[in-house]
Amino acid sequence: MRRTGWKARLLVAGLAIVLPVLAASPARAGFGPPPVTCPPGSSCYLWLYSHAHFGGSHSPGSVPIPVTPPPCTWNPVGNAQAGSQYLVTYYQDKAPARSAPNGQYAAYAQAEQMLATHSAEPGEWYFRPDQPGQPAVCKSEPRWFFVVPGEPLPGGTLAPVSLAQLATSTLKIPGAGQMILSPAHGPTYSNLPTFVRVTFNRPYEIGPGGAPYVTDYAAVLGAAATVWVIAEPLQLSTNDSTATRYLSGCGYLGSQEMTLHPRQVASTGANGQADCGLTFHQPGNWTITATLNWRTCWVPEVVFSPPPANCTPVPGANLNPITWTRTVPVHEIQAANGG
Amino acid sequence: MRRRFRARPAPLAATVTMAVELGLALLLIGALAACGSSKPPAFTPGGQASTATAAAPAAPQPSGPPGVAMPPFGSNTHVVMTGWVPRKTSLVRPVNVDKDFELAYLYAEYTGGQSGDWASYVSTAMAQALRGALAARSVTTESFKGTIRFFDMSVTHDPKIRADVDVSGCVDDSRALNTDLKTGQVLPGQSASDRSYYRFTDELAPVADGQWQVVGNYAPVYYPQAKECKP
Repeated sequence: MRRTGWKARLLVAGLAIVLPVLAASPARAGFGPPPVTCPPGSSCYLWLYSHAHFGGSHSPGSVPIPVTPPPCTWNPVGNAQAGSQYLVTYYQDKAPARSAPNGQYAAYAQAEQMLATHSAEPGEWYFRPDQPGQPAVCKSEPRWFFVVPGEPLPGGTLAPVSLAQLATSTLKIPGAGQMILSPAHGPTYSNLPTFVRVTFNRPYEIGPGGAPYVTDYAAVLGAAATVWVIAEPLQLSTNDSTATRYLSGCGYLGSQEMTLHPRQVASTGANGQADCGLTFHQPGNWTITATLNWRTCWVPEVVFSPPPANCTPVPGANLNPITWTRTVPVHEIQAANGG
Repeated sequence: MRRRFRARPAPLAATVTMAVELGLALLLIGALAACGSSKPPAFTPGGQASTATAAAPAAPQPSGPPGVAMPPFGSNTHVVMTGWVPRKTSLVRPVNVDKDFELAYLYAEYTGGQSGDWASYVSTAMAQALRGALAARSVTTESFKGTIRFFDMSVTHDPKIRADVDVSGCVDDSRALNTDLKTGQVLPGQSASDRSYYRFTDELAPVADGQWQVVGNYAPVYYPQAKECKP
């Protein structure tokens, strides 16, 4: 079934949807189908990705978070032959009334014609099931739609929260680069503080308070969202339970003294303190682990700025932390004491 | 072909008794046998210890069609999975993976979200979405009993990602009832409705080593739109 003017209707639909619309079925107690999702790797996600515009560098499926599906859901039922047969069988080989809503008669006629002519037209038939809680705009969309490659489905406009999830899923979030120590290869001797600093493996921006972040936006006709993924303060840990940790100056990337005052850091002796680091008190091969968590936030518009103060977390975006690890040898305390 | 939850483990007490009678060598053999056949026992909603690994009274283990892992539903729950497989050999594997996923997800609901076996059949992003759904209070406090049937399955290539396949099937849960997870008592106010009959469609993608993974799903189609799903 071909229709004209769907773009105009899409615009209206997009403007009408101002609140997040969860097309997914509510979590059903006891038993029931899994909730509908649109995660990276699925055709639903790919369809959304191909119809959205993004800002900055982006890559589909970089972050494995689910995306809330479009408010009007469509199920594929087959190509020009298989889909047409499914459609005709759905009506038990008897055309629906011409007055049947949502263009059912026209769809049936189109399917019959495709079968009669053994059509091999590229494309797929889709069926639009009614869903609980779907926006009213969906009910006016066709029941069946034959989509040629590259053509969007009606009513596929996303709610802003879905666009936020989509944008988050495309962000290239920095990973662990290097863990830099001072002394360069570890503390060498017990009681000598080890300064710790870390680097990322890809570019990032600096927000308020020095927090590294990356940002992106996604937009479709009538809706948009900007997301930020922001670093949380760096955490240090070690498998030596007797070690002393210095975290007060860690910030987001570890010791600032290592970059601001490298000479003082290099000359720090036994029993000194690091702004960010550890002091081991016993010999052994100990592992230093630095962990950085990410938080997300989004706004329902396109914004070119650092993350705003009052920003809502992106639903479902539980991002994995990144970690840096290094094992350092610590020698006998007597050596440090000159014993 | 994977088979899990199929054979019941030999009762440990019986194994030990036999070992005492037959000597140290047989004790070793018995112990090894018990370890080797270790399978999770049937989950019993409202049982003394409502966990997926809790001990349960002896009950016949449910079995599924060949190539499909039927989870250990309790004796008051009957889950019937169609034995249908596609003629095309290359599509048998994804269909069976989808059957495994549907059963494992149903079993997760049966255990109030405690069983996590379903996660091995889905992508990371899909798992994240489903994990959140299974953590909902309405799931973690309830189970079910009765009969649930999977039937009228089909498989097609996904229209958008041609390497993927869409596996579809009907579910009839009109003869199942929600129960309280702790007490096992049937919850009030339940009756079969049009939402007891629906068609599901899952999208599966090929991954390494000839394996398949559920990467997405479409909205369920309920009766009367899915008229073929009401027998």
